[in-house]
Amino acid sequence: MNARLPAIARRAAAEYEDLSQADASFLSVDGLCKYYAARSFRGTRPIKSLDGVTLRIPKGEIMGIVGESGCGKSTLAKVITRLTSATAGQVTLDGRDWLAPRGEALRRRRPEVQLVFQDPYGALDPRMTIGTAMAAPLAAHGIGTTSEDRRARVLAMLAEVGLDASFHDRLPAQCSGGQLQRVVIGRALLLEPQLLVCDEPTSALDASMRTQILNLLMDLRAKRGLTMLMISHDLRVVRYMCDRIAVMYAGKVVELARRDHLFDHPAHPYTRALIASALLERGGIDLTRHLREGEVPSPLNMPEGCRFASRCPYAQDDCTRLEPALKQAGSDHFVRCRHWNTHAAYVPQGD
Amino acid sequence: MTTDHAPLLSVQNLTVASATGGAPLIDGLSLTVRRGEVLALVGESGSGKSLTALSITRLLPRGLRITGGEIAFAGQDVLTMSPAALNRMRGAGIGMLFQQPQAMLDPTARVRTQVAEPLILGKGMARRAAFARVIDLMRNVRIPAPEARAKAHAFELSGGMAQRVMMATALAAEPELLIADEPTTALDVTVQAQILQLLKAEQARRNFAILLITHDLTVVQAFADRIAVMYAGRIVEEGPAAQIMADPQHPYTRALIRCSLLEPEADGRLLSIPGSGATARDIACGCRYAPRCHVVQGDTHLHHRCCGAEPGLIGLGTDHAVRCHASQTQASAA
Repeated sequence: MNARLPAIARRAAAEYEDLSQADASFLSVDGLCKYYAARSFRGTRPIKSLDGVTLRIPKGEIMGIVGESGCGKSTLAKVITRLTSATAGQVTLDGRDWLAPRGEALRRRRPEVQLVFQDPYGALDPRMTIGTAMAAPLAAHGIGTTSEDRRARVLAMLAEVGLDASFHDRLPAQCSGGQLQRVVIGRALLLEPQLLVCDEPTSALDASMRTQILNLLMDLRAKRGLTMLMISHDLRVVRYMCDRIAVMYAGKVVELARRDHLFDHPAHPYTRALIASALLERGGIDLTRHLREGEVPSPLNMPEGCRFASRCPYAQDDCTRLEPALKQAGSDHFVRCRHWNTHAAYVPQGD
Repeated sequence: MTTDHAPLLSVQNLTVASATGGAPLIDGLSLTVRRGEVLALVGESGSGKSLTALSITRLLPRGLRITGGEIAFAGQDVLTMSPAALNRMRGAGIGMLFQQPQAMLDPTARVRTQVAEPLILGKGMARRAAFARVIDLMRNVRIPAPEARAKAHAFELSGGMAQRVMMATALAAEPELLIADEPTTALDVTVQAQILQLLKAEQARRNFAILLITHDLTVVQAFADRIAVMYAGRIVEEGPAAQIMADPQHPYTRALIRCSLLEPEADGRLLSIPGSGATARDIACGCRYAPRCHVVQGDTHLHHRCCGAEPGLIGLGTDHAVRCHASQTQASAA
């Protein structure tokens, strides 16, 4: 299998030794890379949007992916939903290769992985009624025998996501953002997916709407035993929703742990900076301990060593030369930092 | 810290309505900003917080107008000011920061031209002297290599850098008040925290006041001295930030804090506010929050009262006021 991968991806995969030893799971992502080509007069250079991502999601769990814009989290969602191809790496879903099927075979398997988009207004056709929009994927995949049967399924799903039957004939313009996001979630679930990928499902919504949608997702998860990949820049959202959290920085997973462990004992300096920034301390902001003033590296020109070194307050000489691997830091806890166990003792800040 | 008795900014009974008529979008809003303090104006989209900011600088979009009330900045009546005086006040008296720094910067002009504008127009500085000052200003907001960046264009800057440039521009003419409308919402969290830390440091150094408009209670908790909570064009609670965050009196404030901080309730679920955010347009009579209020729902006596008459904004103690029948009854009983 390795022979098929480009040399650079083979090297990336080897770094994941510690995590790869963990058993294959319901969703296994191994050494996943996505390079886009940036063409300029100087020639074509790769933009390493995803650079060797390895994840395991057990059935029925919610895995959170956090990181800032440009870290590759939405690219990960696109590759896992097969909206774009992978440059290298593997994804298996329930023991079957998920990146292999193409054409008609892929179309048949598409219901297995469904996506909830960030912007519900953009995800629905403004001239299509809610009922038509929700029934369309059913018809496309031959689910339901007649249009009456599909209508009954749509009405049942509307009720399940907390909307009454009157929404069936409404247009998106007649609904609020929160109601439309319920429609988008319902439409995805009508296909009975094995994996639901949510890409920033609440970041376009107001605070009061956001909690309604998060409660709905948790209810649906409890009822249907959904396995979910929850992509968010909001640490509060992943802290509430997720069983496990992967922190991404510049195309790589830098830390992966169970939720409580990640918040109580973050090992990677970037995770600490992220937690301190997101859960600002009451009556003061002191980031200098966690973050140096520096720029995020450009995906066109990734530094040789650790990608966080330019902003890391603990960076040492070897950090800028040698790339750290994702190493086991405890049971179910992986961290990509050469010096995680020698940093000054960290006192978690809470509110 | 200077403690003048007259507030720096005083807005009394401000009413903003569409020129074509209809219910007012901001309805009898009063607030004061004291010298050197950070007042956070908090609320969901559609509550009227940005319109309030635009009214203060007389920058309301076409089709909306101020139909009543008074606005005084540093003792001057903003509503009767001449266009020339208004232009001096914007920039030199009141600096402004907006949500989308990239959209606010002129894509055709170099950074230094824009940062120098309030110095040249507001303070009457010569161009060359203003450009020299720009480098210092950019250094103050920790822009690396300010000499090179001063000659750059806006599209060459990252979002965080662009917001630093906006901050340098807003603070260039040493304004007494900075209106910051969702200044960090479009930025990544680590950059947001760095910008806020910088803003706080500059504020401590120069002692200007900030009117911070945000929906993010995390930012408010870390940053504000006082909070005013808006709902559907009205202020529903106002008071010291620490007190309101710890012990909010209005059911909406309480719910908004719980919703923003995403801390689960005892049953493991998140508190949610039923219905969707109301704007001032769709209000009949009674308390504007009553249709969504969980306190009202379980109490027929209150239901009658809250849906019948709108509560006033009544003081609960020093500096703390709330617009809620239930909290006011409770406070007077105690």
